[in-house]
Amino acid sequence: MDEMKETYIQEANELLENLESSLLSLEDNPNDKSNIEQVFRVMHTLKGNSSMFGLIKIAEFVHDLETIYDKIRQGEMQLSREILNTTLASFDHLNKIIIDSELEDTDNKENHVRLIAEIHKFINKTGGVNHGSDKLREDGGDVALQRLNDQSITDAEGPKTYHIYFEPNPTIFLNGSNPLFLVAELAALGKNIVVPHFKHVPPLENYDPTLCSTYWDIYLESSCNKSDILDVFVFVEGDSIIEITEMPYCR
Amino acid sequence: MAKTILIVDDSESIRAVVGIALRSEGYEVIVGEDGQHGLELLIANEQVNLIISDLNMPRLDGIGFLKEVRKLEKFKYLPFLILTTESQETKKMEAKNSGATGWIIKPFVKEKLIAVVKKVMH
Repeated sequence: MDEMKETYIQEANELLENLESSLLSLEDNPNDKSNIEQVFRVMHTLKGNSSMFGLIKIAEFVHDLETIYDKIRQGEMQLSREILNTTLASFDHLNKIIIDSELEDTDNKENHVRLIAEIHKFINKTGGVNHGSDKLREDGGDVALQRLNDQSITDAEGPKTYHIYFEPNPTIFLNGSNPLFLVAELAALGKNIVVPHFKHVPPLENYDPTLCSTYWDIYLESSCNKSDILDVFVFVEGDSIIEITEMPYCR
Repeated sequence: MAKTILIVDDSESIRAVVGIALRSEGYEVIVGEDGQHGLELLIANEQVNLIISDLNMPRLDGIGFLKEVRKLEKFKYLPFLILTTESQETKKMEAKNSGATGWIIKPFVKEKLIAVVKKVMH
């Protein structure tokens, strides 16, 4: 992992070099859209890398800074001298905290708090901080998988029986999804009876193999809860028909 | 035969982290530095079984890359996961509507990554 951390620091330094050069160009030409995009992208990458390496303070800081440039590139804000000054000060600060990610140095800690306050002032002028790392932690996909890891089949209440009706959107294949994988994943949650239905399959002359015409009834006995079952369908739930009914459990 | 996964991200750190995690599970991994590079690699390596791609990249971004992939007859139905820090529903839906299979939200742990990979590729 030390080697990985070195890769992170090396790349962070390269990103900061890019950031510096784009910021200097912006000083001369604050309306240069390609430089605004470049600044945003560099910040975005630095944020993503930092969060992947668990460097949350850096990730949150860069996220807030990135929010300003996201608003500028979307035309919701204008790049001002004050914003540029704060960004340049943030650039200097980032150069220091890349190797002091926990802000152990008192000066770094003070600068961090001061710069975050400055950045928030700019963001609040146009409508609030969308705090990245909180959002990331709250994200549905994240939470869904976390639930899968933490609590799926260990519920103390004992097994329940569910009836699950799954009718995929006919175009499900166009997203690279395979409904059979989902049925298999569901079946792996417990004892099961899987009943495929072919009533919607048209006669051969009208048959289009790129469309899914099969649908399923699945009976599942499992200690998992309803949300664990829904997690199986997390990528398709918006456009498929999924009905989950808890049935009286009988041995 | 090991399945091959194409990782496309402009961040060397992310490519390294994802690559190490996937290789440790026995997958073959090839890496592209942006959408354009990813597209070239895909066309040159027709054995790719899954693509994992970042969204914000220079030259050709993730959505543009995804759309190009879906235009290729051979890869029309290939599982394609987007790798993103974007937690907004709109971004995920934009990818979904452009043909993405699903998404992996950064930051993630190895177990989470593997769980999503196994969900879309058996």
